[in-house]
Amino acid sequence: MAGFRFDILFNAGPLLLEGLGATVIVSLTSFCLAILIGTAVGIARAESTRARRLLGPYVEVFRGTPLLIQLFFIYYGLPSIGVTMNNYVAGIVGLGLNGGAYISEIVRGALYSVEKGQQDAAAALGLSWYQAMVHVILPQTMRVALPPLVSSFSSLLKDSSLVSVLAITELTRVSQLIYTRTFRAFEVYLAVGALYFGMIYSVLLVSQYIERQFKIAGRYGR
Amino acid sequence: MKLRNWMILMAAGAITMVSATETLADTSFQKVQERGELVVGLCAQYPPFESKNEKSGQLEGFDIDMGQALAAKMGVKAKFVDSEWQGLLGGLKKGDYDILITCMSKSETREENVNFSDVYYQLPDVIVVRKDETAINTQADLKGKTVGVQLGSASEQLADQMKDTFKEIKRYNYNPEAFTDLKFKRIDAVLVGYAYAVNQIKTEPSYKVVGAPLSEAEVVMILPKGADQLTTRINAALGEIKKDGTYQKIHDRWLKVE
Repeated sequence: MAGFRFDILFNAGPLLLEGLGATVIVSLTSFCLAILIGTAVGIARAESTRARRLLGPYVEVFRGTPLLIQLFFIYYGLPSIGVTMNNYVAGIVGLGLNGGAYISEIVRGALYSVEKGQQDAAAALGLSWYQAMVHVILPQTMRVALPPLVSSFSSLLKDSSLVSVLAITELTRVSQLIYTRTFRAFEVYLAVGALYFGMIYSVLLVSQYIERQFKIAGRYGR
Repeated sequence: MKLRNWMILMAAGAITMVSATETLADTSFQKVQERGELVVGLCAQYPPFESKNEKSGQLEGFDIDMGQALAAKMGVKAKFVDSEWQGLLGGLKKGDYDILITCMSKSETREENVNFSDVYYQLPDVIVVRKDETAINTQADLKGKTVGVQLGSASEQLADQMKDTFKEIKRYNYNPEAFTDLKFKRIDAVLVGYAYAVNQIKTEPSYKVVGAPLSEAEVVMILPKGADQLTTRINAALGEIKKDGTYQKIHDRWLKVE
């Protein structure tokens, strides 16, 4: 094989940057949406049996069907019944709803790790349900929920490559476009892989910092 | 790969369902005029017809120049949107694009569901092998060999017609992947459009074209079903650029061989 040509990456810099930007925007926005949905659904399903049954189908449908099908359906299918959104919105909504389904289960599981006595004790101190949730219960779930949340984020970031079917030129699509022109599979995919890894690794560093803040004495782990 | 096939089928199904309900008056050309813009959908992975210049980041190729020339004849600007091949027909149906100019041949979609423009290029399919290949010189030599094609392409349909003679047909999302597999000897030949083959050999001289062209695909522009006004205008503009020499100029710039 001929020598490696990493110079093509410098030439393609602006194009890579454009793709990186789209990937960052789509995945960060949809992750925020997923956290909001996931927390709300997770708490609701942990608190009441009725909500658990009512919201069950949402979680099961989004976990039980391929994300690509969900994106196709939201963007190309929904306009048939009058719901039309632009490609970025559709991509973010699709990724957000999909991620939300997984995250709601993380939140629900993490809530189960907190003893019921905590809520009673908070009530005895005169805290409302909402105050108790924000100040007492949720901080205790952070330690449990954080590691799987980082996994969720890395899945979501990588899944964001699928929004290229909605004509969004994100990082994976850019790598294909460069490869089409240059035929340099080794250099192009190595570089793009490194970019994805860099993004996920920086989120991991942030999560490690947060994890230290929510350390609880007497619990497993150091 | 299987999954992608399903997806294409589903998209086709959805398109058929939607088209059955559509009986609105045709304002396709007025819309383009009011917007002052002809929105062209394409998949920029098929040089020299369309690709994104990796240095400038600009789309370029035969289809780009032609789209611009056609739009100019109609007094509007052309705007190009790159999308995955699988999303093109869905996006057209949904109204994201006015037209697809992406080297699509008649056999790659169904005329019941879309409007075709006049044929703007005849694209022969050819056999591409490694430069050092000596055993494959004609179509007959492909007997018992493994050939690669791009999914959903006219070349794939051609390969399917001859599939009994092959050992195996390998289907790739995009041609570059097929060429890489050819280079690393995981397949014996690639069936692909002639212009694309020539362009790739320029970039990567480790391949050659052998044998006579297999068949000619009729390349057309694709418009939404019922966009008859716009289709008429596009065909008229195509006739004009052919007459005034613009078409020939664009052709020579991108598709002239030798």
